[in-house]
Amino acid sequence: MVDLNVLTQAMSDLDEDVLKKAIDEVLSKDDNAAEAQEVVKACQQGMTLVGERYDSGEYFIGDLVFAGEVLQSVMDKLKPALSAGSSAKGGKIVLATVFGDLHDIGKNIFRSMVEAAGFEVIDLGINVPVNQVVDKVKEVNPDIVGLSGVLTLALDSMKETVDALTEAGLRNSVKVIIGGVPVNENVCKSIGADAFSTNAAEGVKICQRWVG
Amino acid sequence: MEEKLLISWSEILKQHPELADQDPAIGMSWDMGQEMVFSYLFMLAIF
Amino acid sequence: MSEAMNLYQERSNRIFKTINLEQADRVPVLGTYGTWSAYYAGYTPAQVDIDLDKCAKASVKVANDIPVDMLHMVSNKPAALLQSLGSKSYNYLSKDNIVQYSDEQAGMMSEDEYPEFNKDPLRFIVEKILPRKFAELAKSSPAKDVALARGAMHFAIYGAKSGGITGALAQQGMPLLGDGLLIHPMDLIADMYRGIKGMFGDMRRRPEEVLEAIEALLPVILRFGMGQVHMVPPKATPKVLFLPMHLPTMMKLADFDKFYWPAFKKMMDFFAAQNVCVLGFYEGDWSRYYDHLQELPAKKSFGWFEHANFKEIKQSLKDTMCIVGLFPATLLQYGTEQECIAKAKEILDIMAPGGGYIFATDRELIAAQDGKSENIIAVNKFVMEYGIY
Repeated sequence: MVDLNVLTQAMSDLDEDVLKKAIDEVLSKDDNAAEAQEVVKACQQGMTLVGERYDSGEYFIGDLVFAGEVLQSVMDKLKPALSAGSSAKGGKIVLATVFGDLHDIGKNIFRSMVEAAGFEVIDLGINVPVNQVVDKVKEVNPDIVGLSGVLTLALDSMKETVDALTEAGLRNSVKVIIGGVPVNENVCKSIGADAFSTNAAEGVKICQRWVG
Repeated sequence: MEEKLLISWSEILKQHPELADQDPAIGMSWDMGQEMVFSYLFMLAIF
Repeated sequence: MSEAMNLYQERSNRIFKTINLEQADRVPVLGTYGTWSAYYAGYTPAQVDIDLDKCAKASVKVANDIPVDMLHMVSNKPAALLQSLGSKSYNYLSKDNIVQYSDEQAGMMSEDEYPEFNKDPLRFIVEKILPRKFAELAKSSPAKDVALARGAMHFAIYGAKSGGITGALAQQGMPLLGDGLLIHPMDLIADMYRGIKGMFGDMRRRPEEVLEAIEALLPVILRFGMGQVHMVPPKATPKVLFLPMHLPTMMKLADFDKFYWPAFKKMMDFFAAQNVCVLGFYEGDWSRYYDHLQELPAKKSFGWFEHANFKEIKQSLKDTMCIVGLFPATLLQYGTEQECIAKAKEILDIMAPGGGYIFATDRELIAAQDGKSENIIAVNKFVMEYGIY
């Protein structure tokens, strides 16, 4: 049985070798669904620690980017061993970098962290047209819509997306959070979002408060 | 020896020893044509 | 004609005196209008990229309408060249949007190709990367060879036309700051070949190879910088190369010290020795690196800063480099004229004493909504009056 505390610490330290060994061990066993689930949970807890180390100024964006990749790789490797529907869902988020913007580093960091916190994320990717967001919201009925962008032109797209949700009669059934370089209090108000964040970990906390 | 894409500095110096006091670290060529081709290729590399 | 030449000289002297950490007659104003200039003149970025005559018109309109001492550059990408080669990474997302690069499309080099890259980066770039970036260069000879030659023609035409725009602006008495572009080897590999995500993984998984790649690529970049310096006609003032940077604000200090700083310092020392003035684009917040920047040769480079505590940056860098920027561009779009002027006054009160400060926005204006022209004009006018020593 792998030591889960060691795994949490390894994830927090971004130590891939330790994680690889543990995953290989789990995959070599039969009937490993429960253990695989525990490993995933331990790594997700490690991801939360990564967020704290970023807040404290020890880790920077590059570390978050790498952490996201490490966690994704853990999830991908263990997926075959996990039973369907075994991961707890803390809420559903439709996520997108808005139309006209190709940047996704911040969005991807947010995705990693919010998934680690137990949310299910439907990530529409970059340069996402307004109607695609609306259609997906209709289809999956999420709790939250997250809109990301780096360029100031993204703010227009964010507003258009929120307006479109209103027009489609969907605005009141979701919470909207906007993230990225140009967002602030004023911008949030004029776009009509419920919250804004320039910090992925803070964004996660906001989302947790909404569904908790 | 593998063929070099652009004339190396040492080759240039063999033919033009009077250029020896130019800084070899920057690989500058006396041939503006070569430098323009280099700049062109590198511009493609960074855009 | 002579009046324009005098104006050109006066503006140039004002800027370069300030770069030399002296006090000129007043605080200079640098125009930092990128693709915004295209929109201002009623064009889209795509239009000015393809048609350099439109680019010239946009630049001249900005020079005529907006009070500045110098424009940082003529904003234009060599669209004809890139499109004729079938560029895959050069995208307009819609007909009036700007060019952006996605991290996914930066995947031109796989993680196990470092050894080959490190042996001879230029060869690897020409043989492997260019064909991956440009559809025409992936074809076989002679189609590929013709494409390369056609591209060279576009390159020469682009160079000539760009020179023409510089000349047209000079005739109006408007100097341009930048003579060329540099990039840090690590930023180049991250931005264009491995992706930023890829690079942060490589730093952890194959750090020695990354270090070797940076070292192998550096002389190539130095040569590129000097090539541009030599291709521009002689000037009375130092030639200027722009150095945009992306990775440092994303890295922790230990990684910066190990990977980024050594090549950065070598690059800055090299160009200082050649009397080429590098303008570093210190995007984001560089305060944790001020002590590093203090090690750069004094007055030989200058810095365009985005976020800073004004007193802190002035105190830290006043003996090392001229500071450019700091004025929040968002205020130009969302603020009133009064708010903009108040902010400019606040900045000048701290940054102007003793010289060594050039007024400019904190970052380049890219989108049409990155700044209202009325506010820009009002603020620049204010600085030209209030900034008199």
